Amino acid sequence: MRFLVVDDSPTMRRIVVNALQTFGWDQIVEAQDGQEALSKLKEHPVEFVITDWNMPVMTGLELTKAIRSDGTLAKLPVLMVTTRGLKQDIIEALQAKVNNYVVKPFTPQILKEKIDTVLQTMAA
Amino acid sequence: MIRDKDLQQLLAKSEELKALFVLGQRVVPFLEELFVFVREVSPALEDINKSIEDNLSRIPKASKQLSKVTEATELATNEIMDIVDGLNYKMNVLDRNLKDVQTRYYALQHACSAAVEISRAGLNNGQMGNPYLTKIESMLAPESTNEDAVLCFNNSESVLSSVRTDASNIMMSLQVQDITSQQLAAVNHVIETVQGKLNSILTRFKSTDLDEVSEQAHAVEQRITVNSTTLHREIVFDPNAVDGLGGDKVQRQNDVDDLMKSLQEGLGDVREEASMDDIDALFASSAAMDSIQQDMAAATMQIPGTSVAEAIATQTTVASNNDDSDEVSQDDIDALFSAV
Repeated sequence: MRFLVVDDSPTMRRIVVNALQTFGWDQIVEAQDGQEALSKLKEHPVEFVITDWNMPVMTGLELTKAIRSDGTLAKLPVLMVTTRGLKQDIIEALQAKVNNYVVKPFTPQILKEKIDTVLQTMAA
Repeated sequence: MIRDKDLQQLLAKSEELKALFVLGQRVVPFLEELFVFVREVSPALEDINKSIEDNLSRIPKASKQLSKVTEATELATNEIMDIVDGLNYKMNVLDRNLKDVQTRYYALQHACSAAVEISRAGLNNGQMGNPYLTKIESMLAPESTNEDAVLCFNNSESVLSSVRTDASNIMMSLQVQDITSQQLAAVNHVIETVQGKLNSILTRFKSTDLDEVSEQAHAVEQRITVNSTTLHREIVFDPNAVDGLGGDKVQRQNDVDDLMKSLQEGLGDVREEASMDDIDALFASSAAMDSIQQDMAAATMQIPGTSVAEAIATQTTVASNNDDSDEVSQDDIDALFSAV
């Protein structure tokens, strides 16, 4: 399975990539903002998107909306991984139709759990 | 010849002039007090002005320092991660080596056992009680050697597993860099905002010698309404990011999961049918939220046939009973998404 990890922080991208590799997922594409992510999605076949929320140029929320409004990408699973944990944030994320939501700081186990949950839901 | 009428006018003017002098006598002390006040205040204003200018000149430097702190933190974090990556590689090598030793050990044990059997067969032909054979048999006794070996391998595997967990924890702990980075960005944003505001005050006192600061402040004012600032790179920050560092991290995620579940359950299996318009209508404004809250009581009474919008409204109302600024945990989020 190929993942797209989107975060403006190189550190966070590396942490997420490391966690994914720990669980045997080593096909990973990276992007530093929503706009670059959309470009990468056009270039690479990706099956799962993990995105931060706060990013310059295009936020993770805007990226999710762009994915959902794109005919070819609309069903792509999107996991939001962010420091934002306010109730209003969760509601906005739901409105944008993210598949699941993880608050930073997180553990690799939580990340895997959420990915598995999304994949199981998509497969059902 | 002065006529009476003219005399009356002259007297009236004299009275007015007299009143003016009286007023002057009363006003002069007030004006004198005012002049004294201004004379006393002027140095103070100058001091304030100078102080503001001094502080203003320091703010850009502080901003650069913050930028360096963030850059250095990022660099250090990546160096640590390099080490952790190397540690992971070494642990994998060690793991393979241990398995190799284990395999070789069992092979050797098998060979020794075979040698003993062969020797015994040979010794039974008239050479009983050979001390070397007795010693070999003792060393290969299952109750001692095997048990020790198993304990050793199990312990090694346990240690390796623990080291892996530690390495993973170190890696995850480094998420602090992202959070502190956002916090520093927020501080920098504050500084920039204060700089802009101070400059606007200064320009009222003094419009010279501040052209450079003024230009910077103008650029800052363009951005002060956005949670974004430029340190060594542009950082869009969450001013509450630091909240994630305090308290129980697991509980925070659990709260988020619970909220997600409670919101999502309202959508149930028909989530696909819920249009964005439905959701937008429900969440668009506080007025709409109020309306949703009013519908909640009725919606909770309707079990079958409840519309998607009403279901969402019901769940949203549950979530809206508290302040939207409340932190939620991962459990809330999980709970919300589990019904999708």
